[in-house]
Amino acid sequence: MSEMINGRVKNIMSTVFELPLNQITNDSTMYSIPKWDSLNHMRLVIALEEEFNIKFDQEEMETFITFKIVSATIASYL
Amino acid sequence: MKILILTESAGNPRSFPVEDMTELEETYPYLIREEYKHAVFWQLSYGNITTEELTSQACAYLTHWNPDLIIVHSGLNDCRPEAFTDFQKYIITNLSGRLAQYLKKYMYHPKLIKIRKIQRVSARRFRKTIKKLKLIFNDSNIIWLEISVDDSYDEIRPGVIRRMAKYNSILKEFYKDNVINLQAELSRENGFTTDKLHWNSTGHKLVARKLIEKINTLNIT
Repeated sequence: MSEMINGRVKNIMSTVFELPLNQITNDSTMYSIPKWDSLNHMRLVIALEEEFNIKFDQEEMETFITFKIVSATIASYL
Repeated sequence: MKILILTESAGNPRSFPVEDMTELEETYPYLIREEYKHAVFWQLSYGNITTEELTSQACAYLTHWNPDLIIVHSGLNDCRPEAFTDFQKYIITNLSGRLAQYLKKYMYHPKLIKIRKIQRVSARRFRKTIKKLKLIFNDSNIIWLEISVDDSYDEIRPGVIRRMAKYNSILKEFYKDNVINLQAELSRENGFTTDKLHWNSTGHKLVARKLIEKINTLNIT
């Protein structure tokens, strides 16, 4: 998976979830990040759409439960 | 060895019609389990499912399991031509009265399918889904079974053979030699059921044999 995409996604997650960048890892999930709640989930989606100029559909948004899935979904568009 | 098997309905046993009955023990996932008794398996076989729906289950729940091998059989439900969209079928199915009865007769009519040629999943979206699977399970070997139907299925679903070829080429674009060709041999050996798209016990044995041949070249056993 592109390291550049990973880096950009981690930056966004770090901002949205108010975590230091080094605490966002490839194994991060919505269960391991305390501030990954439904409100911040939407904030994450919006931030990702703006960053990558992508429009996610409802079904995709609902699958965003791990860093790996988020990053791979974005990579699949590019 | 950890093996994840994801299939649409063809991975399931069949109990009807009687001439097509296939026991669980005759299905290719079971035959693979018998061949690799030391392996740990997780299997999801679900009828009428799209590739995105099927693979999203694995992506959501099994990435931490890190399977050594993923076997996928999916794509026909994405590509085969339809007369109505899923939403339209839902409306028609839940209508009552004469109009409903009239429309229900034509839900799978070949002539209407030929005119409307609706597909559940676009080629673009299919490409995105299979690319995503490869990215998420980048440490796993992924083997894809070619989308296949008997040639005569084109009479029931006009355009399916051409559509299928297109989606198979997308699979081969990403998975190359890890896409197992099945169509020709299944047709030659009468491996399809009477509905022309599922596999009888002969078909399942053929698929299992080809899978085992492929798996043994991957150096993961």
